[in-house]
Amino acid sequence: MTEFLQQTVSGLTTGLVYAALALAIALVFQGTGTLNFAQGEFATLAAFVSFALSSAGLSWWLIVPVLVVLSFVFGAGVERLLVRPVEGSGPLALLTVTAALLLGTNAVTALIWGTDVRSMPSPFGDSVYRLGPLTFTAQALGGGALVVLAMLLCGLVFRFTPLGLRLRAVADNPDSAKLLGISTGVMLAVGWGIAAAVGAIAGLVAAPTLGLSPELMTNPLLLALAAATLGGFSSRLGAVVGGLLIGVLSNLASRYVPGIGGDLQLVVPFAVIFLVLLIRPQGLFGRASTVRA
Amino acid sequence: MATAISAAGRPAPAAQPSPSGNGPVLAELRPLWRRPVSWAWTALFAVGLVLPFFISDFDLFKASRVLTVAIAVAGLNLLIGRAGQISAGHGALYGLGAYTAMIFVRELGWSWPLAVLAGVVFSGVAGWLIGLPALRVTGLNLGLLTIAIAAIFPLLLSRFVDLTGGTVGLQLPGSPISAPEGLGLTDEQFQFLLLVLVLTVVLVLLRNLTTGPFGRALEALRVNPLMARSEGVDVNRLTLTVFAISSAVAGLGGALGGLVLASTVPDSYSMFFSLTLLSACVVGGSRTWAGALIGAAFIVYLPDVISQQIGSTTGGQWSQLVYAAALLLTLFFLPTGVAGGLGRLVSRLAGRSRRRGA
Repeated sequence: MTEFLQQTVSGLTTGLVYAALALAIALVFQGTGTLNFAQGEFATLAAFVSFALSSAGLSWWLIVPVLVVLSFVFGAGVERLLVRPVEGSGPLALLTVTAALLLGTNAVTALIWGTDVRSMPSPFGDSVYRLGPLTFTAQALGGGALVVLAMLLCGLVFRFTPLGLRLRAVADNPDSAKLLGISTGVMLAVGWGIAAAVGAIAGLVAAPTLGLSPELMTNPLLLALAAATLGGFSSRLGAVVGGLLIGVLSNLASRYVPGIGGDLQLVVPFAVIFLVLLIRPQGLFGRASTVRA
Repeated sequence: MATAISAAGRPAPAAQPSPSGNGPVLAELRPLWRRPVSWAWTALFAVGLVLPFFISDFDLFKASRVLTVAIAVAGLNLLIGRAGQISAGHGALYGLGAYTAMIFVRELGWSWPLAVLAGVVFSGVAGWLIGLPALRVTGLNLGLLTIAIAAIFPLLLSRFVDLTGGTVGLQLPGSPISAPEGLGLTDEQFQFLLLVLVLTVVLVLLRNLTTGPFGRALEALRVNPLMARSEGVDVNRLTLTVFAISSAVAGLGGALGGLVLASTVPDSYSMFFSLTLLSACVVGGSRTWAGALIGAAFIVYLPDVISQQIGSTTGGQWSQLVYAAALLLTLFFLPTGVAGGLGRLVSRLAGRSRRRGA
């Protein structure tokens, strides 16, 4: 039982990373209407930048806000410069642009920092805490807290600020939003910026555990896509819940299902994507959309 | 991409004066001998036939790789350019064809033509299965599933060691596709000629498929699935069929590629290979068949050129960056791809000279 609980807890902590990345993917999907295949690579780039900043001697109290701002600017810039030209030319072109962004960002990261796996020191130290029979590392607790904070902030912005209202309006109905005088272009860029910032936190938290390399977020991307599929791409809450479920599910599967260990954990998100699309394509929290001519 | 491509100068197949959609099945095949092949393609085919006698076996080997990749990209062109569906996982289907053919030759001792056929069938069936859940809701789901498959395929290959040889893959002492005795051809020459023939047959079949009633149904699906449905096109069946055909063609390229190389390794069929194939398709021009050849040459030769320029340690990454840049630039400035752009240029020049002559 203790073993099971411990596995569930560690599934939840990895699940938080998938949740944050899935939230980022859902944010872009709601605004721009495409899956951003490059969301994971953006997070990897952010993790490398934070590594470089910490190597330069900056304190983590400074690195996190700097990273959030840089990522926001990067995400918004990518949207304005590289995604904007194909907006309105259909989902295929948009998806292809994000595939190009994946290839390009991955190449840039590998060219600057090399392809070797580095160990990144945890921003939260190496101490271990015990709570009854369960053990928690400082990295898991601190990282989890940071991700939760980022997601809460994101949720608050969307729920309670005028900016969030505009963002939601554009996501819900871009045409009406435009008629109300909302600059949809700016909102889309802001959406990409927020997504990149949330993703950056995911990268920062994932790197010390998974090892820092250009491949850092390749597998988490798949898990996050599965999470967003499970929760529903049109629901921010769904993406987060989906991420936690996927984290727990793949952790338990790799522990208790014979043959699914290590890399083969990826079978879990794949099966989830396949089944959800077959059974309930809008996901757990998503709304089914009716197509009208 | 749909709108960008439909705005292209190329006339839609719907404009062809062929018989109406409810004609007999034979009507689908009629263009095989009725529609002429352009002089440019005939010339290219002739060049393909004599090329093996003018360049070295090493260069031929590389050129053969271009042809196998071109077969796969042609399959992707059918899917992306004609049906308006996306696949970010054709590298996995190419790899599935390669591994299937390899296993059938190596473990079961089949002759290579049968093994290639097995590769085609396996990839086609896999494509059909992948297409099943993708039918619901939007075309994005196909992107979602295919990138998942692209990511998971090399892992599965590394895991099922008994069947696939794990991370070291499967090797044969030499390619089973060897020149028959008495022809006086080297193996490389024979392989290249064979691939020229296969690619030609694939391109002719794909062209015929996309010009008949099937092609018009595809066009309707691409432009507006809802409209297609209201016109009596069974959209679900059509999507599945086209995805299966496209996958089978990719498997054909992979099976031939794997056997010519006599080696299959999981790393060759990573997600990045899948995305590279996507670049080849878009950069070459997804709505032209010449684009498949141009795109394939681009992705096969570029890494060589780059390694020669800046050394091989970071050559892979620089090529990946160039693929990404080429993909973006093509989408922004040349939505019909290099082949589409060239075609428009040629027809404009031809039109001008004709007007001047008149």
